[in-house]
Amino acid sequence: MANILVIDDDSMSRDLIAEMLAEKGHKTVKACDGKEGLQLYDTTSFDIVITDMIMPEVEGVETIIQLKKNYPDVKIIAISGGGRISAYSHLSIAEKFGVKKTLAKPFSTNDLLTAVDELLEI
Amino acid sequence: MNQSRNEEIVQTQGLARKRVWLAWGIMVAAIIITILATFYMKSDVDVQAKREFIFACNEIQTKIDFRLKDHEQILISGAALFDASDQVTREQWKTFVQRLNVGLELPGIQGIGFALRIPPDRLAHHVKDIRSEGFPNYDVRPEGDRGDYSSIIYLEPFLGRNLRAFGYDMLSEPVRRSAMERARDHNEAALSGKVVLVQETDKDIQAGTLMYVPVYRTGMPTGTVEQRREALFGWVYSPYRMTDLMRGTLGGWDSLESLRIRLQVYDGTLLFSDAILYDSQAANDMGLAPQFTEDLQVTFNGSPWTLRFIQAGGQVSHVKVWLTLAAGVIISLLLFGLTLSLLNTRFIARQMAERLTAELRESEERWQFALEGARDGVWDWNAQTNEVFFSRQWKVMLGYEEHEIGTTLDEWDKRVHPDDKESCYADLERHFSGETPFYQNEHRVLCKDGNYKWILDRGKVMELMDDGKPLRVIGTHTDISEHRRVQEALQERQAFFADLTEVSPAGIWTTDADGNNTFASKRWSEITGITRENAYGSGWVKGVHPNDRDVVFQGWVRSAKEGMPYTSEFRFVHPDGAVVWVFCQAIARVDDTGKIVGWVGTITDITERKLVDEALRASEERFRGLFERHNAIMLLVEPESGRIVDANNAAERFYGYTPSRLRSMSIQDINILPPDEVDRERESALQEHRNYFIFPHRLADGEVRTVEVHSSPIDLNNVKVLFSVIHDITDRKSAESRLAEISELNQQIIAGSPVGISIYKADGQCIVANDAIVETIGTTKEQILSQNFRQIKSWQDSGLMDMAAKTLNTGVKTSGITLMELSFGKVLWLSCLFSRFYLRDDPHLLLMCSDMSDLKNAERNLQELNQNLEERVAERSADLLSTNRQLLREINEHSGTASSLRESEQRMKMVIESSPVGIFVIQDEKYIFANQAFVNIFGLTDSSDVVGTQLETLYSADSGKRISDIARQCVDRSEMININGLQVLTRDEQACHLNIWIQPIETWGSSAVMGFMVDISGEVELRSHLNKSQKMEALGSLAGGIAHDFNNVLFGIGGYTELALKSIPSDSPASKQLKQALAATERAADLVRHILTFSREAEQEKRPLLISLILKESLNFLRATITQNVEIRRNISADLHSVKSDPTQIHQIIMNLVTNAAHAMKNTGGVLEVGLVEVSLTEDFVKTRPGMVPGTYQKLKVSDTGHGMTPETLERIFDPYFTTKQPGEGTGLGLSVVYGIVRDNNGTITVSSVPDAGTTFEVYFPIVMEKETSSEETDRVASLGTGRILFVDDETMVTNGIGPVIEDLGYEVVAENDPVRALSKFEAQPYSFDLIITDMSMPKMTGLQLSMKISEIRKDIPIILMTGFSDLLDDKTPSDYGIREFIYKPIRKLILAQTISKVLTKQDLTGGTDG
Repeated sequence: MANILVIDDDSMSRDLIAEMLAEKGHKTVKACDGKEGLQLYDTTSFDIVITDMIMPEVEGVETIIQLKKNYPDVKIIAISGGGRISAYSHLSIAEKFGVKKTLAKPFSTNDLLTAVDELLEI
Repeated sequence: MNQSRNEEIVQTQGLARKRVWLAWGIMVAAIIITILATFYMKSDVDVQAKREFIFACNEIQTKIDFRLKDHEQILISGAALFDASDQVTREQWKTFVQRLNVGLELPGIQGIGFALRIPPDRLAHHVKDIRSEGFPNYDVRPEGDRGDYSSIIYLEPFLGRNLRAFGYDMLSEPVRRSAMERARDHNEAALSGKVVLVQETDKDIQAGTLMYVPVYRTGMPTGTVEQRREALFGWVYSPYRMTDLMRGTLGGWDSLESLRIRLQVYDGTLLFSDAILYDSQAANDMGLAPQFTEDLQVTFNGSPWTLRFIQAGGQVSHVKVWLTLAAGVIISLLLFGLTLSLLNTRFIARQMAERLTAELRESEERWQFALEGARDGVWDWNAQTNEVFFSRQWKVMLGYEEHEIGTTLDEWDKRVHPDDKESCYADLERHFSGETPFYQNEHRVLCKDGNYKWILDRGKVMELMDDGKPLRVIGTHTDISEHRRVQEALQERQAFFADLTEVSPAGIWTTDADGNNTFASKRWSEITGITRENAYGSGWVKGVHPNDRDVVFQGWVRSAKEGMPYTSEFRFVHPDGAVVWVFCQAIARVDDTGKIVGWVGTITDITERKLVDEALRASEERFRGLFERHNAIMLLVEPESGRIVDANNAAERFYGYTPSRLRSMSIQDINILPPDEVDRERESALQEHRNYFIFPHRLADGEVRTVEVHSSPIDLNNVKVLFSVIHDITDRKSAESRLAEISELNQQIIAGSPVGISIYKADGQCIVANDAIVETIGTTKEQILSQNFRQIKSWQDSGLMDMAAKTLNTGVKTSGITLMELSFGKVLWLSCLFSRFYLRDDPHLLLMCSDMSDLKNAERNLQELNQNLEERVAERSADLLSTNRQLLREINEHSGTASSLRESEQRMKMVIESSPVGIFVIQDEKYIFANQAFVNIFGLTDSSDVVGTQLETLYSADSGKRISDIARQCVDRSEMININGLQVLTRDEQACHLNIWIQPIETWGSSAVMGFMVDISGEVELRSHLNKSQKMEALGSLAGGIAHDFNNVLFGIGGYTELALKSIPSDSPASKQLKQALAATERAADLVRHILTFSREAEQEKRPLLISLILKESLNFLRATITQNVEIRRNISADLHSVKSDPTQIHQIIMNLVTNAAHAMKNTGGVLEVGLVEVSLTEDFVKTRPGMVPGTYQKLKVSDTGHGMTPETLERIFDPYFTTKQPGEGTGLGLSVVYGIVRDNNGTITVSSVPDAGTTFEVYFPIVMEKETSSEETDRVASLGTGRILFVDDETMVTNGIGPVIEDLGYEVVAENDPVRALSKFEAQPYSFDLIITDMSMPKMTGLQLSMKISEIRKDIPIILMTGFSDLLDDKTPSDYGIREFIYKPIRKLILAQTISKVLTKQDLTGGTDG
């Protein structure tokens, strides 16, 4: 039902998320990093953006900042697998910048779909 | 009177109000009229404007209409040309058009042309024809099959745009076609609709229109439409570019009028925007609201054009309106004012008239009353007729009745006293002649009773005749007889007064109100030495003594103010310098109103009295002074009552009461002697001819002093008082008594002395002799006392006299033992001592002697014995002496060596005892020496605990044997043995790691070894701790590094498994297996999270919390999972402090430890004990545990009674993955996680265990003093970090921009633009900040300087420096300034957040040092 942009540098994660979303009939467009994601968002309209936090080129936070700057009403879900810095801290940074939904990897299909639904309703 | 005035006032006010209302009314009316006028004016103006507008519009309409007609005419003439000629060539057409000079005459016409009608079959031929005229490219455009064609074959001027029209078939275009057909059909000019002319290029495209006039072939009928169609040859036409056309038509109207009126020309009757042919203000639509709009039509042969005229609002000049309004308002205001003033004036005038009338009436009444009251007569004399009106009073005054006096002058004249007549008439004449303004004369008039009355006659000429002579004179008669009498009496009085003043011994004077002298009597002048003339006015002041002037005047002023009589004493200085004291008394003379009009007073000469007084006063002063200041205590006492009248300062000092207090007391309060005693003392004084009494006086502090009171009666202001001078003789008395005591003592001494004492005066006379000397001498006291030593022979013979004389003369004591032969035959040895003393400057001799005879004899015997002894002794002592000398020599030698030996021994002892290395000596398997350090290693107190014991007793188990083996080895091999890191067990079962050096001692005979021992247990432990933590850290880093990818992989596995599950039936075996797989991934995720807790960078939510709460919660939760056979005992202290940690972490620790403990007892059951107390950890305890400092800690103890652990297991218990559990029972990570957590919290964990008995874990957490914060706070504050940051940047844009961002990250920000202020803020409370972020380049102080200064105040505070690349840093390393991190501009929020977090976290975990 919704158009969703998925930004993640890990291809498996991208594909998996797309499949998860397809369950509910959402259409997905995949981007491999923030730069590509921003370009895509400029040319096409999406209902939701799902972005990983740790990525090369344009990091998750920067992506979020850019999106929020240009499209203040953009709806974002931030995801992270953590690393040196835990997923929690990445995600709370995201929250500081206005992201309303965050998920820590690994998360279940249910978690993802619920988050998407809630965002769409807002 | 008042009442009527009030009524008047009220009336006036009422009227006033009415007036004002009227004025207001008029003004309002005027304004209304003004407004009406204005509106009328406005509408008039508007109407006028509209009319003008319409007129203008109509004008234009006509112009356009005419122009079109003109154009029609031209075209008709063109058609006429065709009609008139057989053929019209191009040249001819050109000529025709040229003549018309349309460019000049009729601007706007694009050209004039001719379009030929071409039947379709003639088209090709036509084209050929034209081409042959010289236009090779000619063609009829557009191509296509239609009916008739047309072509523009002539168009002049044949240049420019018009060239484009050549060959164009206008019939092909519907709008043109319609007009052309219309023209053809109706044989009239036709105007097309709006078109775009073919002449148009890209630029300046205007709307266009064309006019056609049909040309028919000559000779053909043109009556009907059909005939016309047949006959049509072509059209003469003109294209118009509308703007050009309109401009041409309207001439210059555009430039002027179009400013006011906007003209839009629409093709047709409907005003569509695409029908607009022309708009005079298309370019600049002023956008003003249209005021007038007029639509007119111009119809040209059936083609209508609609002309829309718009006049914008505001174009109408409303000046007239405003003027009207203004004028009207002004007039209204003027009217208002005028009305008001008029009304006022009228009212005022009326008021005035009324007042005047009233006044007149009043005045008349007054006169009447006055006259009646005054009882004056009035006469009114007509000087010409000499008729006089005499008023009733006039007559009564003289004692007549009304009717008894006539009306002639004579009535008066005959009654005037003859002596007065002359002066009377003289005065009258003087007035008549104008000399005096009125007539006045006092004369006597005869009364009825025959006596004369003195009358004051006054009058004035009221009317004059034409020649200036008096006509009417009016006057009054006043009875002044009384007055006269009074005057006389007064005169008499005055004379009396004058005599009085002359006679009075007091000087009498008067002054006016201001003090100017108006009268001074003779006596006054005598006293003051100032003559009457000189005294006059202010002259008398000069005589007043300069020093007294102020007093005089001030007294005067006061007296005047208070209304009291004035008295004072002051001096006058005579011109010759003599000074006179006067006593002055005066009273003020007041008029009826009480105002002072003058003074009258007396002065009396009091010089003598004054002098006397002065002397008295001076003496009193003197006395006063004396009394006050005298150092002797003085009291004035009332003789009868004993009341103390006065006391001086000395009395105050002595008694301790203030004078005022003393004055309230009586002497009886002080003199504590009872009255009868007092009397007795008085009597004894009298008897003893003493003029003083001796009394005991009590002071304020209760002390009683003995005083001598000298009293004498004196006269003080005529009152008899006792003047008492009091001397404190307490001391004297006591001194006296003491002296008496001493004297008594002396007497006794002398009397009782066993030594003979006698005292002689300088002349030799004996004055004192005691009993002893009397006895010694053997005579009587009287005898001795009568002697003079200078005359005693025995003294002379014995030499005593010389001694005595010497002492008496020189004062030097002399003594000796002399043999005396006394006069009465006694012979004795006398031991004598002479000394001199002075008694009141007279020298006296003191002799002390005693009988030495017996002694002397004994002495002689002794001397003989002595003699013998001495000889014998001398022999022996020679021997002894030589022996002595030798001994002394030997002793000296020894002591030298001994002392140096002792010194070095001391030194050695010191070194050995203070050595940190344990030193010991063993001989024959026993300790014969051990220093303090050695003793300490074994936990003993003193070397005495060691020395003498067997070697092995210090150790337990094999350790002792090992040591003794080493010792034996050492002895056997005769060489030093060194073993490092030897592990031993002391006899207290303490494990120690030791470094030992043992070496044999050669020189001591039987096997002895000396050993050095260093306890390195601490280091060993430290190293093992470090190893462990390093292991952990390595693991942690690794974990952190792979965590991200791992999570991704897990995500992939889990997610796809989930999806797979969705597509298969849930009860299928595959489904079950997949579910297991999913569970496995969840476990893996947990594992990752576990591992990540090692990583230092793992985000923790550390806040102060109460471990007890978490403990209780966990226990409650765990109770369910622990087997029933385990008893849980808890021992949690109350009042525990908070510990700063992450609740999850604490929970993990508890879970792990308790689960382990429970697991250890699950088969056998037992007691699980959980305890939480606070303990104080010492330096010793923490020194082997890096990261901890001494202080108060909370100790969490978890102990079980399970199977315990072997030491080998204990060693490895905290290693990751080490477990004794079966596979599947646990990962082995639990305790390592616990370890990591504990380390992370700057705590420590210890474990002790006994196999089969149980295990105890003790975890220590450092406490904090803060309270546990609530979750909301934490969410707000600690999600990214906590801290109070001082943010310094000189640009407010930066602080306003970045400050909130940092705050958003959860920190408290104190922003400061001024680095100096920032520094002082920091200085004030350095520990209130956790971090400083500062810009580099700032005025007043650079970021570096600021950092340096801040570091000086508090070394450990982290500082982040923001810098652009252009900033320069010198050689000093940033950390010298306390700078931890740099952030490069431009600032990126993410970098900022991360840097702050990094710096603060490092700070947090390591307490400030890098670790």
